[in-house]
Order: sequence, then C-alpha cells, then structure tokens
Amino acid sequence: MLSVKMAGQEDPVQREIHQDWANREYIEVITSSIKKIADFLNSFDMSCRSRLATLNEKLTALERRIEYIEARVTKGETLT
Amino acid sequence: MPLVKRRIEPRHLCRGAVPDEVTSELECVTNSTLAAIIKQLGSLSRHAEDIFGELFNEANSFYMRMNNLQERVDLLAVKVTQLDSTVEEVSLQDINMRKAFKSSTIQDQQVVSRTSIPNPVVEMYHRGDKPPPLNILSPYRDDKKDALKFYTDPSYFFMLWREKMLQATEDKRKEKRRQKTSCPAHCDQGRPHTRQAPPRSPLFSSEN
Repeated sequence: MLSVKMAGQEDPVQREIHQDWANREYIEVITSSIKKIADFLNSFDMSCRSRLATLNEKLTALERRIEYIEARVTKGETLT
Repeated sequence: MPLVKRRIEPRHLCRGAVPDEVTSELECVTNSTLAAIIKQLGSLSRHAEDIFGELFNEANSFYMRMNNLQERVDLLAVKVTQLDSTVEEVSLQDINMRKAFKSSTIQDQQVVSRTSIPNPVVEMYHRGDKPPPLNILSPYRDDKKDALKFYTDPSYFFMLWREKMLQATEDKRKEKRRQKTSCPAHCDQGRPHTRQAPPRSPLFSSEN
C-alpha cells in the first residue's frame, strides 16, 4: 500500500524536488555573483587608494619644489 | 581585532522559520531566500555608493590642489621670464643678512578624530548601545563631578596628555630658574641652549 502510494506520488514530488534543486542553483549563481561584486569593490577600493596615495606623495613633492623656486625667484626680485 | 567596516545585511539568507500554514515549504524557502537576496543587493549598492563617494572626495581634493599648483607654476613662468641677471646687484652683506630658506613643514594633526570618521563607522557607532544614564545622578554628588565620567570618559587621554605637557613646561621653567640662580656668571653661556642658532649661508662659511 505504501509502495503504491509512493509510486503514485513520485512524479509530482520528484518534480517539486527537481524544481527546488534548479531554484537553489539559480540562488547559488546569484549569491556567488554578489560575492564577486563585493570582492571587486574591495580590490578596486584598495588599488584606488594606493594610486591616490602615490599621487598625494608626488603632489606634496611638487608643492615643496614650487615653494623653493618661488622663494628663489622672489629673492631675485627684491634684490633688484 | 580588525573592525568590519562594511557589512552586507542580511547575513543569512534562508534561516528564517517557515510559517505553519504553508503547504509547499520548498517554494516558501526559495521565495524568502530571493527576497533576502534583493535586500542584500540593496545593501551592496549602498556600500558601493559610499566607497565611490569616498574615492571621489579624495580625488576631488587632489584636483583642487593640482589646480592651485598649476596657477602657481603659471605665475612662476611669467616671473622667470621677467628676471634679468645683468640688472641685479648682489652685495655679500645682503646675502649674509637674509634668512635661509626653510620650507613650510605642515604636520597632519587630529588625523583620527570625530571629523575624519568614515560614514559606515559612524553608523556602527550609533547602532551600539548607549552607556547607562549615570549623568542623572550628577546633581547628587558631593564633589560636583560628572558621574558618567567615572564610567566612561572620552576626554581622558587628552586630559592626561595635557597634564603631561603642563608638567613638562613647569619642569622646564623650574630648571631655567635653577640655572639662573645657581650660575649667574654663566648666564651668557646658558642662553644659546635655549635659543636656536641662526642658520648660516654657505658663502659665509667658505669665506672663513
């Protein structure tokens, strides 16, 4: 009796289980994409910050050089 | 322990309890998981906007600095063309009298302060529990101190540093007074220790 009942319910139950597996695979694809986006954002942030830090160093060096040159040129002016 | 700056909520997708009156449980779990995924995408986009906003602000500040530098370079270029070495007369006394060039050393101060705190850390701070309202007991104290400061005092380290600095200046003042009273004949020798020697130009040293 039980085995006949199981045989009768096999198709819809199996169908439901297959559908559930497909849904879970779809959800897994989406969640792994979300993780990839999060990884990309982190690495983009880090690389941008390191480039901006390099830029900051160069800017500071340029500012100091220009300050020195301004002092030299201004000195020349006051002596005239 | 490192602090997680940005957390995507909700963390767990399919841990909610299934309601009792639902017959197709698998579909119910799938739907609730998809709803949680949409919330996660919303949280992710908010964090992404915050990240790009921070980077944009920093890049913008560099753009302003670079514009400023460009203007200064243009001014210098004009000035340099106007300089004429034949007209200038440089006397040796004038070179010695002038102060040597010293670049403006700008030190970063208050780097880790309330004003520079990033937004996600502010949100994390506000999500935390407030300290117990011990300040309502302050009027009942005999020594008139703030009762909450005995539990948590944000200005403690600044006060400690201030006390140390005041103590250091007081010690230096006492030392100076002791030097003056103990050796009055050598007070001229003692002066260079407190005053910085003026920088000498290279021309002056080569003459000697």
